[in-house]
Formats: sequence, C-alpha cells, structure tokens
Amino acid sequence: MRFIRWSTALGYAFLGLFLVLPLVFIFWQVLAGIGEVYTSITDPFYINPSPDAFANAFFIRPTDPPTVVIRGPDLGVVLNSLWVALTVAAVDVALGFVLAYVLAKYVFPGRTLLGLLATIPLIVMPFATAYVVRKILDPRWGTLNWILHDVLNLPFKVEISGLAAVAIVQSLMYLPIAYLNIYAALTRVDPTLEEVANNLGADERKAVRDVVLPLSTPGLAAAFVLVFIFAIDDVAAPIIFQDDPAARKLLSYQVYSKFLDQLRGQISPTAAFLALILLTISVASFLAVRKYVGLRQYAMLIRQLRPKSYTPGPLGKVLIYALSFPLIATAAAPLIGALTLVFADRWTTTPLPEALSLQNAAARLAEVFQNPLFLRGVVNTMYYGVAATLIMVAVGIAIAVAAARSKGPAADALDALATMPIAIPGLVVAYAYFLTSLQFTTALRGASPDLADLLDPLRHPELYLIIGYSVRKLPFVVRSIYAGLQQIHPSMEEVALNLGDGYTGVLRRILIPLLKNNILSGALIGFVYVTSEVSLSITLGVLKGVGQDTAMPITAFMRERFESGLYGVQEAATLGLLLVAIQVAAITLTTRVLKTRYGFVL
Amino acid sequence: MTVVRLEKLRKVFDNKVVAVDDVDLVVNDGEIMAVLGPSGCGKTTLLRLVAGLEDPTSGRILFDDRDVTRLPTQERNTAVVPQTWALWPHMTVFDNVAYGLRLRRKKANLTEEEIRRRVREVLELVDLTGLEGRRPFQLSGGQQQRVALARALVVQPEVLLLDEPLANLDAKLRVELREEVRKIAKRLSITTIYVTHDQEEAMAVADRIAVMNAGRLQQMGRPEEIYHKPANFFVATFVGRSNVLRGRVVEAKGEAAAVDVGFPLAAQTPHRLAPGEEVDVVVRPEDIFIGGGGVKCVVEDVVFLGRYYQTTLRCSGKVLKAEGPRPPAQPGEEVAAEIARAWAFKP
Repeated sequence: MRFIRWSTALGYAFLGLFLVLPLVFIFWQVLAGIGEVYTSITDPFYINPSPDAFANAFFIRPTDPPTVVIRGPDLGVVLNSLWVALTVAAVDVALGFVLAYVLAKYVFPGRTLLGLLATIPLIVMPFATAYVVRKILDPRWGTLNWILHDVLNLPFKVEISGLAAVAIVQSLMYLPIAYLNIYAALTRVDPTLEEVANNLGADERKAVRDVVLPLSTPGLAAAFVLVFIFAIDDVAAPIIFQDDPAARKLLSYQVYSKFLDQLRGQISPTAAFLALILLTISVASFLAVRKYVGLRQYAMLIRQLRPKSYTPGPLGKVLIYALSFPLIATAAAPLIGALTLVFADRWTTTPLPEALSLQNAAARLAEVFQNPLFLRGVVNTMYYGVAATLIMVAVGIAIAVAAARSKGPAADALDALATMPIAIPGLVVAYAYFLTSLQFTTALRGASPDLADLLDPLRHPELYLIIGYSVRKLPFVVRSIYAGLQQIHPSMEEVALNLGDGYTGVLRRILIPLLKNNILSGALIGFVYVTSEVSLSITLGVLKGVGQDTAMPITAFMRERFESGLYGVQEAATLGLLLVAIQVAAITLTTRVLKTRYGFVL
Repeated sequence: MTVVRLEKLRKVFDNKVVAVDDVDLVVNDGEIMAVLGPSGCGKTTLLRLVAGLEDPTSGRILFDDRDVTRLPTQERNTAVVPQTWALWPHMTVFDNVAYGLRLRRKKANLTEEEIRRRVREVLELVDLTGLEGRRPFQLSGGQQQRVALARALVVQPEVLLLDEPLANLDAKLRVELREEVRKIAKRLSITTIYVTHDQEEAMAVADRIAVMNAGRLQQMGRPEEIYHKPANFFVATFVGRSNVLRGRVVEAKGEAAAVDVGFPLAAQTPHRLAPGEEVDVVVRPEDIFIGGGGVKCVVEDVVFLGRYYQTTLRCSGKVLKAEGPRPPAQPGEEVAAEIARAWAFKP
C-alpha cells in the first residue's frame, strides 16, 4: 500500500541520513588516513598482550597496615575495553540472575520491598553515582577502608583503582539492566510448562534446569550483551576515575578525549579508527544477540505473566535474606550516596557525608534555580527532550507501521536498522556528526554562507543534539509502538480502508487512538533517556562553550561541575536531583497510569 | 445491483505459495454465494482479492462490466465483515456504524441528521436499537457480530463480503444468526460472498456454493447439486458425511458404472470409466437402507446421535456407517443393506 511505502521511505530517509551516512563518513576518514592509523594502532598503548600487562594488576603494598592494591591488568586500550566490559557483563548476569530468580520464583515476606529496592538503581544520575563509588573506594578516606580497618579491625587496607574501579562502578550501574532482562525472561516462561514438569515428577531444581533455564537462555544472553555494550560505551566512569592514567586507557575515553582534541583542531584518523573499533564491537555483539533472541522484544515495555512460584525452606529463606538484600543495598548505595551529596554539608575527608540537613538541600536547590547558567541548562534539557521526543514519535510511528504491517526484506531491514542505535555508542554518533557536519558546512560555505552558518556545529550544535538524541533513543519509541501494533489485528485498519478511508485517516482515527498508550509510553521513556543522556551531551553539547547562550544540557553541566572541585560536586548532584525527579515522574506514570514496566528489556 | 465476475484469478504469495489458482466465478446480482473449503484452501484470500485488500498476481475482477482489479479497496464500494469483526474498541456502537457514512458525508451530501437516521435504521434492522452508546466490549458476541454487519450494511455496498462471520460464536447462536444474515441480505438484495468452512452454514445461508481446495475451485452449484451430484472425490467427501470404499469397475456406460467393492454396487460417475479400472466409491450414510434387500451385513455397533441412529455395519469385510431414524437391529445381528446411491471417482 502507498502509505506503507511512504512510511518505509521516511524511515529509511531518516535513518540513512542521520545514522548510516555519518557512520560511513567515519569509515571514510579511517581509509583516508590508513597509514597513520596503522602506525598508531601498533603502539603497545593500544594493544599490549604482554606479561608486563599484569605486573601491576594485583599486589600488596608494604604500608602499615599493608594495602591490597587491585588495579586490573593493563592490556592496552582495545583489550582493556574488552576485558572490563566482559567482566562487568559476566558479574552482572550472575548477580542479576540470583536477584531475578529470587524475585520471580519465591514467595517470602519482604518480597515486594526487595522488588522495589531492586529497581532503585535504574534511576540514572550520571557521574554522581560513579563519583560516590570513587569516594567509597578512596584509599585514604574511603568508606570501604573505614569499614574494613576501623569498624571490622581487619589488618589490611584495600586500594581499588584504575580499570578495576571502572569495572566496579559499571557493574553497579548496569546490574538493574541485567536483573530486569533476566526477570523478564524468567516471567515470560509459561507457568504451565513448568507445572507439567512438576506434575511428571520434577522437583523445583529439575524443572528449572530442564524447562525454565533452556527457555530463558536467550534472555540471559541478551542481558549479557546489553550490559557488555553499555559498559564498553560508557564514558562517565572513566572520566570520574581519569586521575588514574590506567582508567583513561579505554576505547570510550580515548574517543571522548580525541573528540575534544579535534575541537582544538587536531584532526586524527586514529580517533576515527578507535570510534570504528568501538562501533564494530558494539554492533557485532548486538547482531549476534539479535540473531539469537530475535528482535521482536527488544527494548520494550512489557506486561508480565505471573510465574510459577515456590515457597523457600528455612535454609532458602536465610540465603535469600543474607544474599539478596545486601546485594540490592550495595547496588543502591551509589545512588543513595549521590542523593546524600545534596543534603550533606560536605563529603571530603570523612568516610560518610557530613551534617545532612534539609536546609542544605533547600539552599542548593535555590542556588541552582538562581544561577542563570544552570537554569539555561534545565531549559536546554527540556527543550531537547521535547523536540527529540516529537521527532521520535513521528518517525517511530512511521517505522513501526512499516515494520509491523509489511513483509519482506525491506521491512525487516528497516526494523533492524531502527533498533540498531541501541548498539551504537553515543560517542561514535557525536564524533560522526561533528566530522560530517564540519565537512559539509565547509563545503557549503562558498555556495551559501548563511545556510552554512545555520548548519555550523560550532554555532548551532542544538540541531545536531536534537537529531542525535532522537536517533539514539528512537528504538525505545519504535518498539513500544510496534508492540502495540502487534496487539491490533490488521483487519481493524482494513475495514476502515474498505469503508473508504485513506491511510492518513486510518492513522488519525483508528491507529493513533488505539495506540495512544503505547505512543505515550514510548514518548515518556524516550524523553527520560534523552534528558539523562551523557555521550552526546558532553561532546556536541559543549561545542558552543559556557555562556549565556550555551547549548549545554544538565548532564554536560554535571560533568563540568564534577571536574571543578569540592562544591561543584554538590552542585552537580543537585542538578542530578532534577534529573531524578523527571525520571521518577516518568516511571510512576508508566507503571501506574499506563500499567507497563519501565526499563531496558530485551 | 451488481454481478461479480472473477476471471482466471490467481494469487501467489512470495513467488511460491499459490493461494488462489485460476479461479473463474460468477456471483449473480443479489445472490448469496458461499465459498466453502477447508482451512488454508484460499477462500479468505479470494474474498480479500474481491475486497481489494490483496492485489491479484493475475486475472481480472469485474463488478458488472467495470474492471475493478486494480482499484483500491476504498473505491470498490464493497463492505467486509472480517472473522475478527474488527470493531474499533475506542468507538461506541454508533460511531463504529457511522464511520463509513461520515467518510461519505461530502461525496454523498449527507447531513449529520441523515447519518443518524441511517444508523438508527440499520441498527433496527440488526435488532440493536438502544445499544448505540455502548462500547464493543460491553456487548455479547452475537451483538458484536451484528454491529460488524450493521457497519458493513449501512454504507449500502454493492458487494457484501463476509469472512467466517460466525466462527467466533457458540453453535446455537451461529444457527440463529446465519438465518438472520440470509434474511437481511435477501431483503436488501445485496450481492454477497460468504466465506465459511462449515458446510451446514454454507447450505443454510447460500443460494449457491463454490467449493475450493488448494486454491482451486472444485465445484460451483446449488447446495442440492453440490450434495447430491459432487463433481469430484474431494467435494463428495468434504461436503456431507460419507463412506469411502476402494473397488474395481465391472461395467461402465456413460455416467453409470457397476463396481465390485467386495460386493456389487451401482454407482454414478463424472468420469469415463473402463472395466477393470480401480475407483473410489463414495456412499452417504443416509443412502444405506437396512432391512430391505441387498448385501448381507453384520451389525457391529449402534449409536444414538440425537436426530438419528448411526449403525456400523461390516459387509463382505468392508465397514460402512449407516444412518436412520430407528435402531435397525442389535449388534451381532445379520441384516440386509440396500445402497440406494453411490458415486465412483478415479483415485
């Protein structure tokens, strides 16, 4: 049908122009400077699989008391990124499985509370959570050594730094993503399948081993790959730990710092190559899991089944309380710590924040709202959020309709392409946009100086930020609408067409009213992810610098404040509190009003 | 007032699945044509082609003398009632029914009052007066079906297309509603194509039946013709209950043949048969009369099925099912069975 063809064309045009073309441009940059790329990449700084790499990975420093130093091996930028991300994914899937299993399969007092606590770390407070972990791990004044040495009187201290610290931060940050995906996979298994196994004589262990696990393995694999992609793309944790040179030896940090170098005029094909490696690893992992689990349930809001549950014995209960609650508490600690930064007078040389009071929080919030720059940041964030959401909804409806209502390779490819941005690092998108727009406007300047000015990324980065956000977060909107479309029988549209309506009429009178909850859920989740986005915000967002007409959103201000020192940290946390408020409102709305679950769910 | 004519109509999906294969069919003005066949035989695809919801791979669709083959569904003036009914849950009964009229408001110069009047009339026709303000989910299955029918009828389509419209209803309601559908279609004299897999429904509703299998039209005719004079083995066994016996032709002349199926049997046939040729013989249970002359059989079982008794007979080693108003004998007793009518088909 003509409308489907137009929808497909719109989807391809949008993604082709704003996703594929800029990425191809990176590839072209690499090819153009292949000689320099080869020279750089053979440097051990990038790949260093020698025994020396493990020299400082783990050792005991002869202090009084002795200090156990854990830094992790330094295998060079590329291999470091891989081992850190793989470790984070493995740890999170293991811990996430324990949590998800306990919550999905057992009935015990406190289950609701545990479930509620488990979703707390879903709230994103960029940089702040990583900063709190840095405070906890601080070798001199950190909470960890205070507990180990001063409270428990253990005869040693612990120093976790460099890549090991980054891995810990990321494990805590992404645990809820693993947990949610695995929980969804476990609850999706039809309970009657397990009951039949029980009925035939299988006890809980056997039924889970033979029925539940095989059926939920795709969910486990999806969780692993999703956490892996998020970890390898994360730049917030390396930035917070950048005082340690080892923490900078990650692909994401290198792409980020080379982006900043480019702003100073140092165009480097090596940066493009690193971006390409990051892109390749992420996309390859994504494609692997897509083939395995099928894309249909990707990143969508789900309605869950009530899984078959068991009542644990006394030993089981002890294990649940002894393992799950501390695990949840640990995962929630960074966010709780970050929030206390707003209420604390200070947190510098003490193991815990000092002098918490409501007055402190009120004074900081007042400061934020009185500071015209911060206000500008809040306005920017809302403006980008609303603009990107409108684009996402318009393009998302077109793509979802095209993918759900037509068959064939063109629809399948569009569906895959629309979900692909989940796997494409924000840094790579930022880098690609910057390079492409710079080259384009330079070429345009001769022919149309006014248009070139308008499209200049250094003068008007807002344009690229909004498009970049909408491309990156598009999958969440598409999947939400797509899921709704799957619930609507095509005959609903066909009857309207048959009675004489055109497709735009069908869209307006039939589909949009029927899909309004899905559109609203998708829009809300897209809006929240845009407002808390980091990679584009701290790269394209800073192109215009800090000033009255700055284009920086809240997250870019947060990074800038975290780097500026003592009170900057608390200002950043206060800005983070505003983001938290937006997220909590969205979560409440999606779960209570729209009756859907919130979060990344494969 | 429309005659629907399908000429060599063919639909192939993905270059490999032949859903409709060279179908020629004429539905006369005001006629109800049932398209009957098993699941997957292509009957729904045929209906969708007529509605313009699928494009044919080849062939033509004519409404009277107008070629509508490439006309979009909006411009065909057909009205579909899908199996799911597809009632829009966000609209009331009134809005569902008025939808098509509102789209025609400008073209047909309809006022809101005129729309209201016509919706009221059609709701009265399907016996739904008073339910205009309800949402579809507040109605029973039968009422929902009537709303779907009213929505199709209100636009006064040239051709009414019903795709298993009663499949989601319980057996008793199906019987009631099929009579009503026929009554309404006849009263309005709308050319109707009624797709179903239920042979009894097809016979009850239709003026003529088109039997389909594997995308091909097997036979078209009045219900009596389809039942009493099946064109091939598929139609004979798909429509009505039947016994199938493998046999050999002893003698053949025109449409008549003497066949040995273990015992001698006179059969009609649409084929030219030769003596010695192997054939499948179809015998309807109600055409076996027990107690007269004929072949000697032993009663194996007698079952009461409400309207009739079903008797299982063993005759010269062959098992036959017969039906009759009374139990003919007790199991184990020997009886004589006369086979009044049989058809022989080439295997």
